[in-house]
Amino acid sequence: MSKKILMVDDDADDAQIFEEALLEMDPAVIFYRAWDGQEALDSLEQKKIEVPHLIFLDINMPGMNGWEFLKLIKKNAFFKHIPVIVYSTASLQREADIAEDLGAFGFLSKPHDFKEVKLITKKITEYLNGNFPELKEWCREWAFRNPL
Amino acid sequence: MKWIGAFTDIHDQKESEQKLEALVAQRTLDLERSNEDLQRFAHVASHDLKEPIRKIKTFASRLQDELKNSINEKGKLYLDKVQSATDRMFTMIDGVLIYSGINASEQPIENVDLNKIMKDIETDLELLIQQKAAVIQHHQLPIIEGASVLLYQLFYNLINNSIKFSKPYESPVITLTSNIIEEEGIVMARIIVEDNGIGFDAENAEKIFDTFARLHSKDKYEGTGLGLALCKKIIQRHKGDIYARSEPGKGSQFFIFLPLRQEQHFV
Repeated sequence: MSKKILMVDDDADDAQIFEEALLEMDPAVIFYRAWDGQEALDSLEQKKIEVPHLIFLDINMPGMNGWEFLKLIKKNAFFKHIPVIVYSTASLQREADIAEDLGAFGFLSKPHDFKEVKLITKKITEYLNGNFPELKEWCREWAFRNPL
Repeated sequence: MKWIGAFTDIHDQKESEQKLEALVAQRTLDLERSNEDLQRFAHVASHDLKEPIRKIKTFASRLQDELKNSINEKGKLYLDKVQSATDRMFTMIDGVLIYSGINASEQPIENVDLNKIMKDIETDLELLIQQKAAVIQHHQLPIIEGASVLLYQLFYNLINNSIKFSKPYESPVITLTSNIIEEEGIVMARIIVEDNGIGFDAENAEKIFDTFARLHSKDKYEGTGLGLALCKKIIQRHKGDIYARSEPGKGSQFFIFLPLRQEQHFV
């Protein structure tokens, strides 16, 4: 069965780069994309998409932002089991802490380099295929690379 | 009964004094406000600036990846230049963010053991210390009241500078000494950070604390020009003082004065 990833991000470039890197790592992955929290929630609730194995969530979005979406999804009996990785420009420890408090699986600051995007998608696909159970710890280390 | 003396009406004088005081108070308030606005602007602007730069960097690396087999040497060089320029821009923006953030957010006062701060810094700079074979000496530094995040940043910047501006063929030796002094009734820790680096001209001793001040070209020494400005800001917020002494080729000395006790609950 193909693995499915939902990316919630209003930034078309970021989503495109991520999708390209992801499909390069694993062409069989199904990639869904929503522009903001509301669209993502609607797609899930109205079954426009299948339940993803992982959600990548931006924070700063017009409409419903990432924090609001994260709170709602973690209260929803059908979807709260989906691991959510907060994927944001912010590289502050405070943001990573909030993400953890709200029940996110991990926090990754958006990389500046395509190689790093590829590294992230590599780890993700390995995790989804059961070959990288340490993803959570890996995310934590990533967040600490930018201590400020 | 009679009295002799002069009678002067000082009503006008008093009135104009009061007017002047009110004016000064208003101006100070205006100035504080515009300062806050400026800091907020710096914070927002630098945060938003990061976004397009991240894109430039990501797409430049994407292009590099895309062309990896077909790009010629010249093309590769140009792309590398784009990368290093954006890297520098990033560091500067981060510097502004930290600088404006440090001005903006209040930090609670706590007891800060400067020995522990130094240990943390040595751990965080481990790689650099190893690379340059740097020696950092300190013992029995005081425990002072202050904001540990800020004091960490202060000593981190100073130590980092001392290592960065070391002589090319001499390992950096950095020594921290301290004593307790009393100045105008305030008990202060006086900490001297001394190194054997390249030093600087005495006439630049004040200039180095200005924002974006740099004494060397960025090609020679990387940096934002904000490190020491940040140090000064942090010390001012702790009601302390800092000054520097140096001679080219003869190392530098930074004299830091920090009160042992803070009257304020936040800095």
